[in-house]
Amino acid sequence: MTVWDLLEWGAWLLSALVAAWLLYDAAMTSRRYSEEFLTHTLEDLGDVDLTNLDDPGTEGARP
Amino acid sequence: MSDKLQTGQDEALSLRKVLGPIHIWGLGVGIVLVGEFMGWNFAVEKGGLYGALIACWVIGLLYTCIVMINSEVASAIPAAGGQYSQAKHTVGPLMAFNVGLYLTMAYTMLEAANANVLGYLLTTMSRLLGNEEELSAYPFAILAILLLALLNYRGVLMTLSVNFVITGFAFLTILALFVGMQGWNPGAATEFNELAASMDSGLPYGWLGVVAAFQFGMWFYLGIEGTAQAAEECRSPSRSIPLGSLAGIMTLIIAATITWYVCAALLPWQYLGTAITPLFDAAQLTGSGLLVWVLMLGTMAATLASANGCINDASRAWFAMARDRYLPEWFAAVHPTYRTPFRSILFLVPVAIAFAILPLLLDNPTLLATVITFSILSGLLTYMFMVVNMLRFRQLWPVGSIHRAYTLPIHPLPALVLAVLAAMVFFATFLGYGSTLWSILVFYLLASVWFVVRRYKYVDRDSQFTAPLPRPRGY
Repeated sequence: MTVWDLLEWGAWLLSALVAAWLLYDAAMTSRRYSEEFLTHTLEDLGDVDLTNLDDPGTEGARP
Repeated sequence: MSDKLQTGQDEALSLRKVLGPIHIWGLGVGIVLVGEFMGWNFAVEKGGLYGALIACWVIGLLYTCIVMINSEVASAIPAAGGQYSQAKHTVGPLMAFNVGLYLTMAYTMLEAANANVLGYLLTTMSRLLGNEEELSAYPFAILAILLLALLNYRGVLMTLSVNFVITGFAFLTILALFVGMQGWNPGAATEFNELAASMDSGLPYGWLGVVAAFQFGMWFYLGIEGTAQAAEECRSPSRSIPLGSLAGIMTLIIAATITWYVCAALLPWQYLGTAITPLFDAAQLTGSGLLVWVLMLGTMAATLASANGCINDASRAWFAMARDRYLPEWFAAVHPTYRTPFRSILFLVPVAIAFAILPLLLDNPTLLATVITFSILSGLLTYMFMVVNMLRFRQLWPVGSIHRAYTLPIHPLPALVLAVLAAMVFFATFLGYGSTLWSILVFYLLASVWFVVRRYKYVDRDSQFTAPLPRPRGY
């Protein structure tokens, strides 16, 4: 087995580990928190402004 | 639910506002700069050396119009989804759905192409290092997508800080090549006078060739409009978006012109028109081993930066559509710790991997060109929308009615120039990829039918207006 073969296997292994962590964390987050909490639609956000109100570019632009 | 109480997060969970102008520059230039390292040179094959230079500057004008339009509208409507969010305010849900889909497809396809190219580069590098066997590109293409997805998953600040650094490095490698070959010195050991002196190499196919070259001239700048996707995550979008975007297009026009000059001075146009990695090939002809390695690393850095920015932008467009119920709300989830649209990021990973390895699996390199053309055409459709968007935005909110962080000068001229140039690029693309163009239009038509039949009923039109702007009369 050459160093290049090792690199290929290493890349496969690392890919599997990263994929596993991503799926694990996403699954645990979905289990730990309610869907209502994680998924806010824009109307759920209500008065929470999507922009920085301290921003001079948008200040005073609200109706 | 108990964890919700434990974390004390009764307030709405939203994306984190942490980005500044350098991150916007890193995002915009990062997505694009790979086009300087590969792809643009097919314009030379279509239109000759000077045809490619004309394409470089004319398409540079097209993207300057895009960036200026983007700077005015995105700083006034600073929401994730960029042009998608603008479309729902200025036109309506069906247009917005289409624009969101164009953006998602353009960036996901580009990400797939980048991963594919990265695998190719690693294979080339292994040969340079003396490997006699063929190194498989699959594991490296997949690993690149997964590592960049991990970076995106864990936070936008780190993601775009990394993009700023690797994009800056890639840009410096282009400058290093220019300095290394003494590009400013007419007496230096280049072949520019011999290679580019005659019209045979300049405009071998006349002006039709120049128009045909426009399609590949887009590679110099394709994706800079993606800066709008990060507007919601900026500390001050009205400052960051215009500054980052305008600095970005200036950087790209400089990089594009240097790239053209360096390659034209070192490579015969017949070879340049078909090369896969022209800047790297030019570095090999300088005879400097250091420059060869620098350009190899620069090409890789540009490829990674592009894929990284594409994951960021595609996931924001997908997330924004889900947040408005254009797509299932499940995708609108925000990670409570990292404040990223984690499900949208994850969902697009297998899509990108599939398109990245398909050309390898089927041993069909032309499939990569089709994937890239899909990305380019989706981008072009977005640009045509931006013309309508700008005209409508000024109609709804005339100058003086709202505070503008950036005001587009000589309106409506930039929008009209954009319309004419985008139509010319469509024509050029039709000449080369007519069937692909038709199949893409059919794809978006079918997607629109799906949206109208299956999703439109979930869209709450009253809650579509979310911009920090006064509602226009009769809206």
